Amino acid sequence: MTRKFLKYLLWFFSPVILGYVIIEILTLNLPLGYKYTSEYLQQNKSGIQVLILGSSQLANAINPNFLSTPTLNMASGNQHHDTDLKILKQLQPQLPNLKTVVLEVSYSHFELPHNGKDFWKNNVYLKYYNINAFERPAYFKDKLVYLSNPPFFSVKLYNHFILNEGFEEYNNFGFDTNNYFGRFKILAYNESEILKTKFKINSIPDLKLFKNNTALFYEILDYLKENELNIIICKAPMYKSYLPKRNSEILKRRDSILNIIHLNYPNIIFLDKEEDTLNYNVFDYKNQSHLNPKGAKKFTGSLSKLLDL
Amino acid sequence: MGAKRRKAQNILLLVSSYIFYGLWDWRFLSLLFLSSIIDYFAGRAIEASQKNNIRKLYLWGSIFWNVGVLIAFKYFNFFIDSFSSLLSLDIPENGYTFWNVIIPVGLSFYTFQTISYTVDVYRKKIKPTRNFVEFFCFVSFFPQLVAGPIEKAGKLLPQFKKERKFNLQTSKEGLRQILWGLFKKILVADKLGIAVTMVFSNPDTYGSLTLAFAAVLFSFQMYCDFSGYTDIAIGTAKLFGFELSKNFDIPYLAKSITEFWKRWHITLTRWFTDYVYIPFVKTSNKITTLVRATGLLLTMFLVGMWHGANWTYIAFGCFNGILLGIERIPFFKRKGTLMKKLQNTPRIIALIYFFCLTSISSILFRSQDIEQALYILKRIFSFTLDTHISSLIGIKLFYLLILIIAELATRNLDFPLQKLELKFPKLARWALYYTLIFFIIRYAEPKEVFIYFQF
Repeated sequence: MTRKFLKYLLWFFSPVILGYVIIEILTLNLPLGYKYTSEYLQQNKSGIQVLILGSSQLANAINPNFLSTPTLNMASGNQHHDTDLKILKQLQPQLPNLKTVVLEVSYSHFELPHNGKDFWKNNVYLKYYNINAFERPAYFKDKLVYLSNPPFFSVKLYNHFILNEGFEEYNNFGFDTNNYFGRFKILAYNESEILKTKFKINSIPDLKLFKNNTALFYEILDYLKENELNIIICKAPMYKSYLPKRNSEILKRRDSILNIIHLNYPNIIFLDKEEDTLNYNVFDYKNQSHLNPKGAKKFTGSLSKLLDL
Repeated sequence: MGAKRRKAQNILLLVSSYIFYGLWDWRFLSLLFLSSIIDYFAGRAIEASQKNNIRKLYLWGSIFWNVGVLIAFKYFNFFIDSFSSLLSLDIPENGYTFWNVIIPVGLSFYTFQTISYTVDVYRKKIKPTRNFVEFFCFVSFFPQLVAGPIEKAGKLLPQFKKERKFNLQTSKEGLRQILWGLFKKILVADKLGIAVTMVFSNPDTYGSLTLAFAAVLFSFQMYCDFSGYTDIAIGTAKLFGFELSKNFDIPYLAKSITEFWKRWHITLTRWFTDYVYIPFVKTSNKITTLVRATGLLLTMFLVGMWHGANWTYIAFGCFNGILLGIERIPFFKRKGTLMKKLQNTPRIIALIYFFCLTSISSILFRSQDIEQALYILKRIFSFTLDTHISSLIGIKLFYLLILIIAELATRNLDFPLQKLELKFPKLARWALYYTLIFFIIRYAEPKEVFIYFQF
């Protein structure tokens, strides 16, 4: 009877397992930024001198191709400081020549919740970079990329394999050099139209989150200081319509913490372009809070000057 | 041969259950072990004692331990925080006064299960087990360890005493129930959760209609999340030859709040009825309506507290307690109560009554704090106009519709996929299973945890 049931199970689940294996293999063959970044990491471990951490704002703002120093851009969409710290602690021992770490503190970074141990990208970090961000031993399923976010990867699979469409063009560093598609391109960079459009911005102050996030940020700074690494804190440029929508309480708290950091850690360098509306124009943006590759070239240029100092 | 086999089965189950729990956090295995050992010996000691005072002492020792653990891990920080707010004391959150500890998963479930064991032994409803492994299995049985159903020893413990034999039909039913549970959790609860979170995290940007709608959706989210887990637990237990209690009975078909609590989280309601409400009412010399109402309010207050250390849960419990009390007051002729009237009311009217009240209850449950709950309620009743509701509608509601149709069409069954072979040929059944599996994998949102795991 048991044998019959096991046979029944095997017979029933074979197509499911086979189907999933095919989907997973196809997903791993997608042209994803993680894949190229991972390859760069594997090939240049001993040479990498600069590590970039942060969210999509730095992921979009820094193209390591324009830097003379070997740089690994590990910033990624929705990546918060808690994940940054885990990446840093696990990557730093593998990078013998690491000299500088670039961190991001965007407008509401301190008042957004951390990703926690269930963040879907933890699978991606484990699969591509061998970084365990789960805060527990990793299991087989933790390495399955498609299963970490089926809706996201299904769209990618459909676009790539069915429609044969793909806007992404990654360079060797995993930076998408064709990352122009966004609200601004849709509106043909028409400023009067852009100014009319609504966009998502966090405007809810949260003191409790602020306290926790700030404490964790100090932990990152102390870790870097202990390991004698240079620190650059970045604020990426924001489009002019974004700036007045920022909540003044959140903004004031963020800036006051950065001022304290400036006093307590005199060696930290700040790259503040958040309100730079002179050097960055509408054509440099993908949307209100993210640069496109053209803008990234400018921002990377500013970073390059600091790194060459 | 049979006894040996049963012993081996139990040892395997016990080891599996401890591994299962330890994979979440091995440190709390000691707590599970300690609770089991204390209640095991408490049960034995109660049986062995002849004097009632001594028996009572052992019983209260066990209850003190279990409730103490609950208070220490779940409510300590809440009490400190509430008292300091009440006395306007400023205690830093990182100070020594707060205990920086996480709540062990399933704590409220397994402590309630062990309390019921010692109480039932004390009441001489059951004989305490003399088998260590069987009792440890009863406390830690992995399918229901983290979120119930809360089983009474009288039902679950005897199942460890007999050898389980593999049953093909029961196992198939178990798998079907797991599949249905996954459908409810992944395709209904998690999808609804996105819409609900969107609204509840920014209530000031939505009007009355959307907020009220989100409250109704949250009721369904909670139902599908929790009953989905229960289906998975019951289905898994079936694969091992165990029968767990039914925990939900299409609660949203209830015509009154009283009926709702008979259909919702049935094992918890039964637990509180048997161990809190009835003993409380019985202690009174004369059982009056006032005594019953006070008992109800106290019980529902504790039900609210059981859900978590937050004033919102207490408000949720008290609100339901008040409603249950009101429904039992003989307002009408010939001692007619609202509860009885509602049973004879056309379903549509009863449903409107029920959903209006349960939505308020959901708002209390879902809000971050009382302040937010009151703000949302105020905004709903101020009839603020909506500017956008489109993002709430669509595929998220499509699954909910499928669920409702399926559950209503099969309301006499334990779950819609039960006894499917009686209605459909194999080909159609397998096509249905594969379709469900495809949808579950393809449309699963990035990792979502079960709401009731935190309790």
